[in-house]
Amino acid sequence: MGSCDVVIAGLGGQGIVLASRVLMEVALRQGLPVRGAETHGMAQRGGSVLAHVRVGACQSPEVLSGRADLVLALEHHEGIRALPFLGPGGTLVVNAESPELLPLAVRAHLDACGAHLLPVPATRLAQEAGDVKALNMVLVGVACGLPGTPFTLETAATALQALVKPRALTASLAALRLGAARA
Amino acid sequence: MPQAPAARVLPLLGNEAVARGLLEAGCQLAFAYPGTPSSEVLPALVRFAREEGVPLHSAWSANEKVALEAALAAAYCGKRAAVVMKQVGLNVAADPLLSSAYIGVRGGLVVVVADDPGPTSSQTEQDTRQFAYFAKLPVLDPMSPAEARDMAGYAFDLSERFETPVILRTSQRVCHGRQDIALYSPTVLDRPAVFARAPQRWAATPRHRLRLHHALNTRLESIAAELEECPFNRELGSATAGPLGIIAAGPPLALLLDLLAAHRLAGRVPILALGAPHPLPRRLVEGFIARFKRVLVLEEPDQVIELLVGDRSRVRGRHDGTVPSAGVLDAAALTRVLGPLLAEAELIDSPWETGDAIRALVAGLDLPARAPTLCPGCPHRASFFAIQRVGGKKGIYPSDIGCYTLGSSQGAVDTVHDMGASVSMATGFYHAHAHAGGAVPPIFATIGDSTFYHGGLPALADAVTSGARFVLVILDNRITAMTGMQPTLMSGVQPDGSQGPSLDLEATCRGLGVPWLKIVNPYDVIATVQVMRDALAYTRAADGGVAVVIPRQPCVIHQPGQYPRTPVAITDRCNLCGVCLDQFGCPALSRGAARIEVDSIRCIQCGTCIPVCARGAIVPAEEG
Repeated sequence: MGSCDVVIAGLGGQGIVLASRVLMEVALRQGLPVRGAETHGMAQRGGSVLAHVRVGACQSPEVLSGRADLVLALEHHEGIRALPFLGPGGTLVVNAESPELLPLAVRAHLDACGAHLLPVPATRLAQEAGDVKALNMVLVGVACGLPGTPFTLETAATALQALVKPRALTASLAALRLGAARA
Repeated sequence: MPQAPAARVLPLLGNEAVARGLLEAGCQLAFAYPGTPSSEVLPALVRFAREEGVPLHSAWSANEKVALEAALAAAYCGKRAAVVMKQVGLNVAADPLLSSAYIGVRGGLVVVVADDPGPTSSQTEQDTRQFAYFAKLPVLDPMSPAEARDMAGYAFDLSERFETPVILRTSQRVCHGRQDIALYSPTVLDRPAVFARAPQRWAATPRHRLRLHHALNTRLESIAAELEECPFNRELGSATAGPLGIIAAGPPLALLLDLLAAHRLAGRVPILALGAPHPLPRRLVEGFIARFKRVLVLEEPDQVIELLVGDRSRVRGRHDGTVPSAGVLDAAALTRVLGPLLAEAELIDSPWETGDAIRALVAGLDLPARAPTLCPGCPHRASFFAIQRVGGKKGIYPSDIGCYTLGSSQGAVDTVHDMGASVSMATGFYHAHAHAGGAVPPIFATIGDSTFYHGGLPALADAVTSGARFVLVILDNRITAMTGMQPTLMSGVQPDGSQGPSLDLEATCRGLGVPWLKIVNPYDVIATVQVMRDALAYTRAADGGVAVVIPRQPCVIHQPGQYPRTPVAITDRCNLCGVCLDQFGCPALSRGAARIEVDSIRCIQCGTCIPVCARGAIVPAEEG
């Protein structure tokens, strides 16, 4: 698949912009056109933060509502808030130990529009990887592991070396692989 | 003008793309004041110049007016100069901007102004394109980072050919959008500064200004003629007539193209892209409108194109309520606007699915509100706690523009208006109450160090000389934090990281006639409360006046770890009264079942919450 629209949702300070940069870098290294959008300024102080990554031919940096192939939620409430972006047949990947964390109405909506729900215990996996702050990279790993996305794990591992601070690299790489294994 | 593409393709932020375009077009000097969403332009320009070995003078100016005036003088000398600011910064720079249209420039001058539809980080949703009309200056409105890069070069070209400043108006979604862009090599201009003395132009008297105004009007007509053919004003699609045409510009144009493509309507709706809307290329625009039964105008954040069109009888847009008159024109809003018009034009059978059902479902779930808050360990929080403790419920708390507007949750921010207004409004609050012998409540004004130098200096001079009495708290965290850690004038650090002359905040205040000034470490909450008490007492003493308190502690993001670590624990003395949550509100504290809980991941161990609990339930961890 050469095109893919991703929305990453979470809270200021969770490393959402970096996660989007990694996905964009992966697409770019595979020779695909990329666009994206980031939250800066006031909202970064603990507010809701969204990042968009668009791979393939498009004009706007923003994913159209109801068209995202993938919503990656670093926090489940923020995942629900980003739900209007998710398209039919898309996947909501949410940092959660079990699907029951999401209200029944949300799960019913996902079923009704043929979307998939993939709960991933990302906080726990990041801790296993050696740094809870690598939570963002767990979800990047999931995006790489899911079938049909243009993101490959090996390219992501290379991209991480260029974008992540050296002292965070080991945990980030481990988090990436743990995420990919959960896809 | 740009040479063959260099090998590199980078995913550039829109602001980086603007910087790249400026440098590729030969920018020699750049001046800016930080402000979201414009802040990343100057650092990127400095970075590209360093990487490419291009000599560039760059400065974080004291404010936007100062920045524009410095850039104007450089352009008077034939240099290529740029000035960068956010949209409300242009209000501050309005005075030199309006004059600059009359007097013009010799070297190119590009005024980059970032608008903030939404607004995401601003006081207003003002439209800089309207400012361009008011100032009689040409304006460009890119739809994407790549177009912003291209327009930056065109802006320099236009500026020099017509001897006028040109406004490059970006908007938040372009500024903080990213796109893969192939880099060109920079143009390196070898131009010495040559100031050709011409007092009738550079120092024109009112009589000459009338002549300049006539010349300006003629120049605008010439520019409008050029914009009829400009590559950024172009028709997409080839329909000669029909039920519906759309004129669009900026981010709404990009969204429109994607929406039509997503609904398999690409190329089926005639579109006039208008990236250079002022001076209006009237023949192009009115000729387009005449061919269609209805013409929808999509622009943001306000009306410009539809205001400038002579006959609006066929035009739908903001003026008739077809397009919402406030807020960002996002995909959902655009879907609601387009659906009925496309259906009416029989291009679709029924209006598009708007996604309102899922939005209603999400809205009904009562998700936690995510108001931005000061960071865990932010020194401002401790300062606001101390201020509130002393000023109490009767106090009046004028504040200012920066992270510290978030002090409103602690009841220590009553007004936020514009840069520097905390100081002048404190003066006004004092005189309003003291007028005719009235009682004056405690007045504590709060302003950040960078904002103080931006707009607070004349206000403080005025406060002192007008005999006002209030406490001015200058929150000194050593950095311009909210906009992304730009150095302040006090540090003397230049945009390229080199050390230049610095300013002494205390000496600045004393030089403006402030008789009472104390510096305090806000992490010492008890001492800070005492200093606030002493300051308030001074404002009420027989010979009192303005008291300045400077809580000084580096921003925790800028310089993490510059304090002794004090992990805290909550003892069983906690009765869940909630004072620490309501009056202090550190995000690392939350209400547990039996007592307040400390989030050890978010807590930075500053220990400032310890004295906040009157029951003594927050203690250093080794005692707990």
